[in-house]
Amino acid sequence: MLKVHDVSKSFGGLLVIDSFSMEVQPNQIVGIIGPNGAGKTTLFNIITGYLSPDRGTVTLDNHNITKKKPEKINRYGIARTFQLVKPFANMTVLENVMIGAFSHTSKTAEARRIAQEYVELVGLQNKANEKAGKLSLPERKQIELARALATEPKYLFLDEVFSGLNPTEIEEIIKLIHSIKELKKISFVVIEHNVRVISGISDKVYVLHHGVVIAEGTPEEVLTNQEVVAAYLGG
Amino acid sequence: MGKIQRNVLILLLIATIFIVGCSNSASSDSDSQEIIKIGVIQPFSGPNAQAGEETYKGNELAVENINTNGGLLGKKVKLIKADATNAQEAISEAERLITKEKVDIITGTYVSGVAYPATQIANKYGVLYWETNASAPNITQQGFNNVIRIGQYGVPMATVAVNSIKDVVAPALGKSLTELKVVIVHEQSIYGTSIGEIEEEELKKLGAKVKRIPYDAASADLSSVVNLSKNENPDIWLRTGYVNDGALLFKQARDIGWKPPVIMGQADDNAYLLEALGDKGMEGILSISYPSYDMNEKYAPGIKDYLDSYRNKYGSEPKIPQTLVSYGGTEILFDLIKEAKSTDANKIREAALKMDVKIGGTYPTGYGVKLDPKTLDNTRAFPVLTQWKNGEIKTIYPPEAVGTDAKIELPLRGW
Amino acid sequence: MGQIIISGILLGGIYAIVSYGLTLIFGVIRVINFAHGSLLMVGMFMAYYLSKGMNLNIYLMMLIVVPLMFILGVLIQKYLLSKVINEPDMQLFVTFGLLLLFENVMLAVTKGEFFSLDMNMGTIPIGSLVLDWGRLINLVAAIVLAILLLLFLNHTKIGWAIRAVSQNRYAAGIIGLRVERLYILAFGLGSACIGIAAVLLTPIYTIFPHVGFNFVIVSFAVVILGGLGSIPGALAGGMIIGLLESLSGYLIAPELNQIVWYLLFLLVLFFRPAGLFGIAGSEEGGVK
Repeated sequence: MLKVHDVSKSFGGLLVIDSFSMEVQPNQIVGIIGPNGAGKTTLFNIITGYLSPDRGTVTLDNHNITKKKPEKINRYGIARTFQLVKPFANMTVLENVMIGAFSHTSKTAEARRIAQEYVELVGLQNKANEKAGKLSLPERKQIELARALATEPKYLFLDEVFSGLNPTEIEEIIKLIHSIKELKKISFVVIEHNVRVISGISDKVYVLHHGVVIAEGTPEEVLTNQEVVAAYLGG
Repeated sequence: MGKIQRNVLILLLIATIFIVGCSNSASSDSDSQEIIKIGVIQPFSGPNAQAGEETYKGNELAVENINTNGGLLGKKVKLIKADATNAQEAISEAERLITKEKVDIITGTYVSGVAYPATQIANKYGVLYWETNASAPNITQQGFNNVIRIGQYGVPMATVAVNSIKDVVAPALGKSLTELKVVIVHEQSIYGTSIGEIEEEELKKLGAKVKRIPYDAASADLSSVVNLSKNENPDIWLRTGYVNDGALLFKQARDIGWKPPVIMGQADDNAYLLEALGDKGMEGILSISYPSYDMNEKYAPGIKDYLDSYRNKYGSEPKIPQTLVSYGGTEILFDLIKEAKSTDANKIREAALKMDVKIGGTYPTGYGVKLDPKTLDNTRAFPVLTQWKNGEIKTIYPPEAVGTDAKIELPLRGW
Repeated sequence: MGQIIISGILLGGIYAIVSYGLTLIFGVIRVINFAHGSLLMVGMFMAYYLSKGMNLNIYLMMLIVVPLMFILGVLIQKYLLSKVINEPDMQLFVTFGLLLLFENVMLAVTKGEFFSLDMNMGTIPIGSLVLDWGRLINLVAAIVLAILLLLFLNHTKIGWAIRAVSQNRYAAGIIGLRVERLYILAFGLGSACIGIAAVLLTPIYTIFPHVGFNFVIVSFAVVILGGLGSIPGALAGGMIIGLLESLSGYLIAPELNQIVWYLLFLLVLFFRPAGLFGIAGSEEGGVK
């Protein structure tokens, strides 16, 4: 279980995350929702080791991983994608995914085998040998996903993975995430500002507003919460 | 990065920039009327520090000599060192010598790029700049009447190259001048070009066939120069350049197994080329050289005394020929001061313009004296021709200068 | 003419081998290493002094110079460049400072003198044409080193890591790659490549504190021409420039031997910044 306890972070006196706590169970999809500037990406950066919290702890299956470096945290089984999709443009799709696989094998052949599995899993097997830089945006998001999966994480953090996609494409990625969850039994933590997307995918939702959790619960509970409606509808 | 670390880094940068330079020792002795002060501008720090120091030793020995023999005009001569490695330092050091140290005369300079700006400051104050060593053409082309170059420069160097081809090289090959084919290769800055052009012109006048090929001394490859030269199948390969390009040129000729019957270079008598090509590689290569230490005492009177006093004072053999050149040049200056009875630039110039000394037989460099009235260059500062023999340099021309039993041996036979 | 083409190819080998270190360091760390030429110079002096001091064959010095240069590179990245990893301007200052430091220290040590090894290794005649051993050894080494680097980059985990981190520092971090360590390793490897080049060039050239300058502009041109970070590109770029220089020196004039490739270099910079062999849009770079 991934536990975030009482985490705070401020930049130059501005409190960006204020006493945030959450729990992610194995094989669960947790959504973090909030308007722009709510502190979602900062939270991701803290959990995945790119930023140090001023206060609070992050524990994974009873290991304290607070303030550890990203590559260390990755070895505990946490992977992430980035808001700005950045595959290795000069490498092929398969090679991109191999990079991920190298996090737990040293053999090129082994890495290739693992990568092939995940390339197929995200449905890119037909484009495996094309340069990543030439692919469309949804395809590049699939590469990101496959590469993160190839590190074989227990928890996968997706930062705005749906942005820039049309409704059909969003639908496909949601299906993909669900099937991966069933197949690989891993947990997802998803950042999103689109309410409809997040409610369609999450088992549990946290609503962040100016660094504070203003609601948590199942999508249904959260969406009926007055404060949430106010935050979103500008009340 | 912390502030302290950054400051340390910046300090490091600044310190690095100033590693070269900045070791002036300003002396402020009482300004006695009983002393003739001569400022010596040389690079005493930085890359040319050793050469600057060695060149200075020539001044030092000449001054010691004159002071033990009663001084000049009844006064003692005193040298004041000024360290300049670049144009900025040359300007500020020349200013200091004249305005603070109140020197009567300035002399120098191993580096032409230092001499050029320094002469301009000397000109501003009307102080004599007595140039014993720098050879760049521009130094005496400024129309200054207080800058006299007593040492050798492009014109005599090219002249001796041509004369020696006419007098000893062609006969040694058994060819007449009109049968000779010469390829001149030179680095393309003003140094190599000015010499190469005079050589071309003069050799053509003598009826030789000449091809001239300029090249870039900083080039990493000179195979095109070598191949173009080889295509001409010349009798003589005549070169003017620096050390690193010379080594590369000779090595690349060796690499394609081409050695012309004669290789002659300007100042290719240095130990660096010997290290690069070895005794065997340099064997027989001719060089237009500074007056060499194996010269005949008759041609270069005082050279034995000079060598003795150098060994006594510094405990070693002279390291570079420029020491002798500055020594001989300083002696000429002292003769002129005696003649003019003054250290005034105008009076010395008048005396110098009247001076007419034939080449050989007077000064330990073998130089004669006859100034070009326009540029105040010494047209009789004649170098000698030397040849590499078993890793040593032997003077072989002019015949009067030859102090050993060395004879020219040509043609060259393979590397 | 055949001799000119041979000279060009051999020169190409020299230009290629001096460029691998630059392309590797630039490709991975995105630092324009102004100290490239002075590192080459330092390596050449190491090779020279060690070979003279121990009276051993210069090529054996590879065993000492290359590790020493690797360590020097590691120290530079670990204690200098990594301190300013997020400040590109400061990185330029650091490499420029190193250039001044190395050159001035060597000037102070050598007093501006010139040093050469007299290695007359002889020549190999092929009909009417001649090859010299020093440059031939260098050419073979340039090709072998390119192959080894490619094998390393494409078939080892560390190689993959270097390629990944060269393309995207942030993404590389999250998938378990230690960015800082890889940077240190890359600078070390780049410097080791410079060390290899230094040993191979020592028998060919005269060594003095500014000798690196003769190779700096050309190696930047090679790297741009071949595509930033591309090892085969550096080999091909070196060959193109070597041949152009040799041919234009012979057919036009020796004093203009660098003009032609310089023009090509400028054209490529303007119209195809990814290099002749790079993929358009891949100026973003990375090693390959």
